Amino acid sequence: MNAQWTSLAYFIAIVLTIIVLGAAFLVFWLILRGRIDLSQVLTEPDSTKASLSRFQFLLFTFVIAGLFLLLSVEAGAFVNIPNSVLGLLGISAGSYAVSKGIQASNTGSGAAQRSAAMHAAAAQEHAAAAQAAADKSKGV
Amino acid sequence: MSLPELASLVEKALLYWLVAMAAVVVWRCVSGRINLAGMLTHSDADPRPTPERVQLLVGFLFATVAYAQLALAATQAPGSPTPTALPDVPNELLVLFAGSHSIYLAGKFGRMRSAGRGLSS
Repeated sequence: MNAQWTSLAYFIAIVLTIIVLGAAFLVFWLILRGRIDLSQVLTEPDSTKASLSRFQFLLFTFVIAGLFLLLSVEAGAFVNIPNSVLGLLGISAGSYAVSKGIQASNTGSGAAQRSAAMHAAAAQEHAAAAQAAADKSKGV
Repeated sequence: MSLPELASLVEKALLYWLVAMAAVVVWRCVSGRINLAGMLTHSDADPRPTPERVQLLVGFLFATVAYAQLALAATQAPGSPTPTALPDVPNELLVLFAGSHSIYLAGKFGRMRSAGRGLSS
């Protein structure tokens, strides 16, 4: 029974290894061949300029994940991630969220002002047209 | 091949993959195939870099390099014990990082407010 479970665990581990490493190799190959486009990976969806926050996340991912894997290989087991590292990532993520909040609130108020101005202009046009029609009817 | 050996193989392969991905991304950033334009400017309309973004970039790069150096120095030194965790980030570095982000957010908020006032006037 124990040998059976060991064989099953070994089989599953090999299958998972093939899936994980296969996916990693496939993504890398598609990036190299240009089938996965990275040119806009740092660009915000609603803008043409690169985002500093995205750049931070990208660099953090490489540095923290690289150190994590390096130390794990050295230790022979997954190493722990201390709270201060999570705090560093949290500051970065929180700053990104607040930054987007500021941007969204400003865009929202700007759009509301533009919409109000458009409605006021349309109302003025309607009033002028009504006045002209009234004058015309009086003249008739 | 035993299970621990297989796990070690996967970890090493993922580490090499991560290094290769980082190399591709860095190369494409340097060669201009990843768009970095406008990272230090506040908006598309104004092409001048803003001080709060420049200080955030410098502070962030400094914090990242300092932490990486700290982690490597603490664990790769001869005679150092086998690592069980990533090293703690020093409080000074956390304060510097938080301060840099606060300055950036304050600058952004101020610019947004002044732009909003300009729109309404």
